[in-house]
Amino acid sequence: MPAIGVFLDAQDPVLTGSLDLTMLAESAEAMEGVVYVGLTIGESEIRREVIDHRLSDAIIACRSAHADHRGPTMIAAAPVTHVALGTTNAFVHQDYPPLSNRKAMDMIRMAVDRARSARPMTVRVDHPEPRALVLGGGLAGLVAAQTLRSQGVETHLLVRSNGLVRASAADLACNRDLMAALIDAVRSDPSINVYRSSRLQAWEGRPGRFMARISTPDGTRELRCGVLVVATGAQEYHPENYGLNSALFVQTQSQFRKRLNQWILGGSLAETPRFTVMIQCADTRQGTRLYCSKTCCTDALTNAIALKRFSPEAEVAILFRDIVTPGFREEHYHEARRRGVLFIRYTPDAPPVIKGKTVTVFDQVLGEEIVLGFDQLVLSTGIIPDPETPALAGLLGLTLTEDGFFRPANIKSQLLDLPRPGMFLAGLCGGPATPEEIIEQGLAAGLRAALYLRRPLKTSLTIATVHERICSGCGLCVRACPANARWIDLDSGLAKVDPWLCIGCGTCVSVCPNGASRQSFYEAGGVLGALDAALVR
Amino acid sequence: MSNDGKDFEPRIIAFLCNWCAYTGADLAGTSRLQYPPNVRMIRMMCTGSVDPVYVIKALADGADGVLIAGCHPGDCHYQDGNFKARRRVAVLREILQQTGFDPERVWLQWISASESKRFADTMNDMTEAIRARGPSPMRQEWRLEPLAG
Repeated sequence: MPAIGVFLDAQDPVLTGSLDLTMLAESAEAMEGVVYVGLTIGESEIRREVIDHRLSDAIIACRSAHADHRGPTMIAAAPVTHVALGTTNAFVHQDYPPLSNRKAMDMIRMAVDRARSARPMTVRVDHPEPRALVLGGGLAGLVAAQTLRSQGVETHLLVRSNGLVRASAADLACNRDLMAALIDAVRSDPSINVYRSSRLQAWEGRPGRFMARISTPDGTRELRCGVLVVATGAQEYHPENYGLNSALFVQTQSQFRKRLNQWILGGSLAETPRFTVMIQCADTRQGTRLYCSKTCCTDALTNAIALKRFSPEAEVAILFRDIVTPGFREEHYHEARRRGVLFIRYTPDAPPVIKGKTVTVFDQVLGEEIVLGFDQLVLSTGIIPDPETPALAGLLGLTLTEDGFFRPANIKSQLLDLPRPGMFLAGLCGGPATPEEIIEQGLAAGLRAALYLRRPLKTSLTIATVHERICSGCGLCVRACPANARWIDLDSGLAKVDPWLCIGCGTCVSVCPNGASRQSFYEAGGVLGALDAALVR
Repeated sequence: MSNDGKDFEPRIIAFLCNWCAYTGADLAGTSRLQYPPNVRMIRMMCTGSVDPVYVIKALADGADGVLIAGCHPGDCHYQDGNFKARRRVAVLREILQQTGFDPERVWLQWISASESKRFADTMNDMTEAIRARGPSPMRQEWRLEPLAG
């Protein structure tokens, strides 16, 4: 027998000002299945009434439903439905008060009718494996590992290369002292297990209780972990068409930086180029790679400044489409100008043309073509995804963005969560970022992962179930499931659901031809009941 | 309120995805955008979980219009539920057409969590469009009046 409690927010002055809550409370009391109507929505009061009146469902009619924006919740084992009388009714129909009172009544009735046909719901609770695996030993991976460690989590760091840090695109502009300090800290920390020259071979299990098989130089081993931080980085793009790699006078910004450092350390002024031309957005931000890599303008500016500082005689010209200098990096632009670096803007339809050791470009200011001779050509080519990213995404069951980086759970609100629970993202494998941003991402992803391990695991309230008597085992739901939570049991020939993998989206419900697939909270009877409440009076 | 004239009040059912369209609707309220109270919203976890039966049931119950609104393509919280919804609605509209029911009464819209204006505009446009189409034929045919006396 359903015993439904309706809780109206009579303390909200905006709501009481625009709706007739007394009338609503009276009509709610008369609805079938309603055993209690309260005029407060405090969680402790609701909890008390749920227990006292043995309520099977609680309906909270309040200003907004943002409290349960991630889906239905529970108070003292009673599923809670929020009815947003304010934001989806009173606030948007201010010109129609009598009708919005009517709509408020309908909304409550719809929630009551849905709750009346609901069946008891169970939420299972488990504890995550208190162990973290971090993939990638670059800036993001190191910071994430350290953060996890600082939260008292047993941390395992998997590194593909032999050393702890392979040259990542980020450390071009990164403070080397910071990087060295990080490497020392991680290396000397006995509670961070570092596996060098190791790879992830298989990834199984469920959120919070994953099983990773990793191949190390000492053989294959299995590792149980509760969370995963993916920080596999990206790399600098090396285009074919500029004679890169074949001539020393054509280099990328990071290659040029290395040589520049050698010159500066060796004090060999004579070797520095007299005329340097840098081309921004070289073979990038066009064709299939339209994104801006965020760091190459800063790299070009800092390289140009370093060169001018070391050898003020050197001439540097930067050919650019638009200078992107996030935050205080704008200072570099001003400094470069002060030191006499020449900036020449070009448009994508008239890119610079290189012939031997000259470059021809259409100068927007002069309105004519100019020819620049150079001894050194430096290309800002940007960042591309690591070539192993698609394979890793396949292994982990993740999707990539159209640019080939890992896709976060939500581009606005959950940038460091991967779409699968218990998996987090940090650094360049999620797309271009500045070193400061990478450090912040490493910290944030590490903290989010640590937080995930602190909380008990719960199955979704809107979980799918199978009504076995009418399931025909057709397998449509198995194909439709985005979480791979379903399979056809070979013994019975019927569909099964793993409650821990199910993410509660309900896609399987709408594909089932027999109605055997059910979603708790959103039972078909409940939705149809709500429709009746709205339409058949 | 007469049921046959154009001055009737349309009854619209909206199936809104929890992550995008419903959040957008909530934001419309917070921003105090105005639209007519002709809509009754049903919050679903995903547009992919909107069974065509629900839409048909709404139409059979006498709804004058049904809106299904969810995340923009590529933004689905569950990877591709909105694409499944799009295919399903395309087929459903075809079926409605075949059975002689006006398929333009079923709308599918992509409304993100931040597009409160788009939500309010959709509600305004849809209410007017459905009002122009007149009451659903199901309203008269399916409503059985009790015998007088």
